[in-house]
Parts: sequence; C-alpha cells; structure tokens
Amino acid sequence: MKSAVTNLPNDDHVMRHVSWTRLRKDEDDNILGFLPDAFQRNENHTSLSVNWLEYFEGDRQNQIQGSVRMFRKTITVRPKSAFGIGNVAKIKEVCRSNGANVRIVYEPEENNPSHSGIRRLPRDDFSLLEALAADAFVELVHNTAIPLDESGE
Amino acid sequence: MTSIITPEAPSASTAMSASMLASVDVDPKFMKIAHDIDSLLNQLSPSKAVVAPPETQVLEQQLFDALAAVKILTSQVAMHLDRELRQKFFQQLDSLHDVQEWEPGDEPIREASFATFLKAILSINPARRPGLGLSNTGNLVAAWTTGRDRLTIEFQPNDRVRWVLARYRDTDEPARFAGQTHVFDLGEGLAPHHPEHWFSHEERSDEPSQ
Repeated sequence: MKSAVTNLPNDDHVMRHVSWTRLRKDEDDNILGFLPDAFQRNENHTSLSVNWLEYFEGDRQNQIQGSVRMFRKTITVRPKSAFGIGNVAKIKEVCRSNGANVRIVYEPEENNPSHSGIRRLPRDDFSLLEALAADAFVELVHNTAIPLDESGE
Repeated sequence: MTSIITPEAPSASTAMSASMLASVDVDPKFMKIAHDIDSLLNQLSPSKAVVAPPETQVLEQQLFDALAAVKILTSQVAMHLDRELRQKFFQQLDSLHDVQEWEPGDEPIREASFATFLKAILSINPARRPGLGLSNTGNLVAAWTTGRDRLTIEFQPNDRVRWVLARYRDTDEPARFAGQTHVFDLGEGLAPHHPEHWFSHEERSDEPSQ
C-alpha cells in the first residue's frame, strides 16, 4: 500500500462519482458530460469527495477499474451513473482562475483507502462549478463500461 | 398510521411574485399564464391530500408524488404547451426520477422550481428542448449544449433563475458569463449572448459521449 501524503501530486488524477440526475444530457437523454451540480460538495462536508486514481496499481485502465470498484464497495452506484476524471493540476488551475485556491489532499478512509478531498471549494459558485464540469473533469467513464469483479462489485 | 397535512400557506416570496409582475414589462397574456401557475402552486394537489409519515413513506411514493405534482401543474397550462413538447418533458422527468437510478441523498424535483421552469419555457419559447437534471436541493437544471458551448440554467423557487454559459471561440479558453435574475428577465439577460446558438436546431452539432 502506498504511503499517505498530504497534497496529491500535480500530475496525478482524481475520480468523482456522478449520479444520473447530475449528468449533462441532451434532450433525448444522451449523456454529454456533467452538470455544475455534480461538483457541489455536501453542505455538511468540508471537502468534495473523490478517489485518487494513482492509488491503484497497474496501467490506466486498471486504475480506472480499481477506482470504480472501490466506489461500488463504499457507496450506492446506479447503472446509469458515471465517473468524472480530472487532473490535479488542471483542477487547481481552473479553481484558481475562478478565484478559489483549493487543495487536493489524500484523506484515506477505513473502507476506502483511495479517498481524497478537494478542500476550500466554494459550495455555491455556479460559474466555478460549471468550469470544473467543462474544463477540469474532462474524462467521463460510464459505470456500465466497467465490468463487475469476481465478488460482483 | 396516516396523517393529514394541510396546504402550505403561500410564502411571502411566492405571493410577491404576482405583484412583481406588474413592475416587469411582459406580455399581459403571459402575465395571466404566470399568475395561473402561481395560483395552482398554492393549491393543495390531490397527491398531497394524504401523506404517510416520512419514516414509512417509501421512496417510490415520494418520487411518484413529486412527479404527480409537476405533471398536474403542467396540465393546468397544457393549452399553452405543444402536446408533443409536453409529452417529451414528461418522459425526461420520468427518466430523471427512475427509481432504479435514484441514489441516497438525491432530492426529487421541487414543485416551485418546476413552476419557474414552466414560466421560463413559456417566456423564451426555445425551439430546442434542453437536457434536464436536478440540483442537490431538487431544483430543475436545464442544459443546452451546442458543440463545446454550454448554457446551463437552474430554476429556483420564487421565480428566480441563475444561469451560466460558456462559449469556445477559437481557443481552449472559453468566454464564460453568468447571471441571476427574475425569470421574466431571463431573455433579456441572455440576449447579448445570442441564445439562439443553443435554442435553435440549426446550430446543434453536439455528439453524445461514447
């Protein structure tokens, strides 16, 4: 297991689970990306929950599979939900250009050792959240694209 | 055990919305429709007459009630909405509230948010329907996407809307504009940004993700 760090490296990536209701769709429900609301942290949370992708071993595809399966073990993941992937440096840059100096830190939890958080993210800045949705979390992974593992996760 | 709930009293801000109409320069016919929507919003709908306590109310019932409320609201102004458009919106709302896709913590659509949405759609009358989503508090969010260019509007209770748009001209750096207005000022707020870029079918060139 990798050792705990405070700030995630700029070259690394984080993954965010996005429910069906927060996905950006066209008028026929084709998924196009994310709504700003996908990146609004909960009122009672101090950071936006993400998984650290490079926590998982192997190549990029293995890391994505590992992260998605970790989400499935720890939270409710519905069939049509998706996952957004963003580069750490890009997320910080997008936030900075919108007036927010965020930190992206490793916050391992007992049941999710890849758990990390985006701290100091303003909760209700619609422009900033839209910028994150459009310009920072630029990769989308459909939940259905990741096969179940042996345990059914 | 079943409890009876009483109709909610009109909030001060909802009551204010009708009077605010008078100070806004809008078509009198549209003002009448908006007033009708406000009146309906303050009535007790059949789906609200008998409600089980939250601890026993199952998720399916909550979603059904939320959907029923906004569909009843829509039906009351049906004569102002194209039948096909209405059916398409209903399909999108059903899809948004699919119990198989519902996640813990999600909030069903708020009737007051949908009332603002109806007023906006009747007011700006876009040729192209938006994609629909929900905010964390159950406000309806409409998204128009043309290529990389995005227009997103959140419909809040009490006739408030907030919007943000991004246009990518020749660079990767988009021009981004945002606003927060009364629903009747939405068209005026968007006008400098050529909203037909999103609202017309001709401009559409987006591709679904694979």
